[in-house]
Amino acid sequence: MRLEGSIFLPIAAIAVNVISQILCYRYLFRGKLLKSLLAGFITGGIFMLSSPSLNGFIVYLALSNVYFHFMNMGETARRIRILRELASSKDGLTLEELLKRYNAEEIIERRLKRLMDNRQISLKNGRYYIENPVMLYIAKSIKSWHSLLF
Amino acid sequence: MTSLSFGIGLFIVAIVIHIAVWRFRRPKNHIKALVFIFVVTLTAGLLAFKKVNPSPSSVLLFISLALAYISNYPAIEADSPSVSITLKIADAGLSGIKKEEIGAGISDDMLVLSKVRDLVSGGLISLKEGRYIVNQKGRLMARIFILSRRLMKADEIGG
Repeated sequence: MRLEGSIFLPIAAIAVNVISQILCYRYLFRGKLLKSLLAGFITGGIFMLSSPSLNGFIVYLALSNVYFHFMNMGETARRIRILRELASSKDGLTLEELLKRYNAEEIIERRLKRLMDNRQISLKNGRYYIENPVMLYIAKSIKSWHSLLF
Repeated sequence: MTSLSFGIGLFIVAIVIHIAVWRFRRPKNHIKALVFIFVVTLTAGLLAFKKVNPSPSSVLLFISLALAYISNYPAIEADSPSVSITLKIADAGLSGIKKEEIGAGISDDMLVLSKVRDLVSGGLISLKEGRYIVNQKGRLMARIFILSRRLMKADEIGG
């Protein structure tokens, strides 16, 4: 594998990633964002193999991460959900009205469901357990980096 | 010098500056400050290594890493509910944890109002006569995400 490759290849690979992700979400993994993102990432990665370079792979990895966060924001970000709720009502909302539509209880409910759907946690006899440690490792890394900065 | 060592080396320098600035005096607008650090580091790096003429791929590498870090930053900055929930479940260990215990101590103020305040201070929404209204900037942002979800034919409710 070469160290340096074309600058256009990782950009084209990202385009392949995005198109495959959208198609996979629409037709293959209906409603499964994580699976469609993974499928898109793998397809773009295969495209990268046409002229592999270490530099290109790192660029592709970093740009895929940006796309992952963009899609994830649309799916999970509280700010985006609040914006959507407010944008959908003609005269805006009072705090009480907003909290009726979106509140801590719903957020916890949605997050638990998402973590269960992605098999990161499991529910047995009314109690939650860690099923797959991947999310736990990510959570611990985020907490450690947060402690370093704040 | 390879494009790899220039791009990654410069990125590490920017991260070290970012940690130092945050520990010394945290800026008001974190994202703007981060973008500023990355732009200044790249410019300084290009000027310092002018003689070896860094390749376009090394610049792309730096920009990609910077974009990836900036897009990860909101998760690092704020207390993500998914992160908190996962850590609570992990802390419970083999005995597990009930939903009520996970929700204990988590309030609307922590999860929703903090974000409403962020949106107001970011100029995306404003409070007028007791009602929160989306500003033009916020409407544009909401539209981008609505459009991306429509493109995937996803339901429009997230959060």
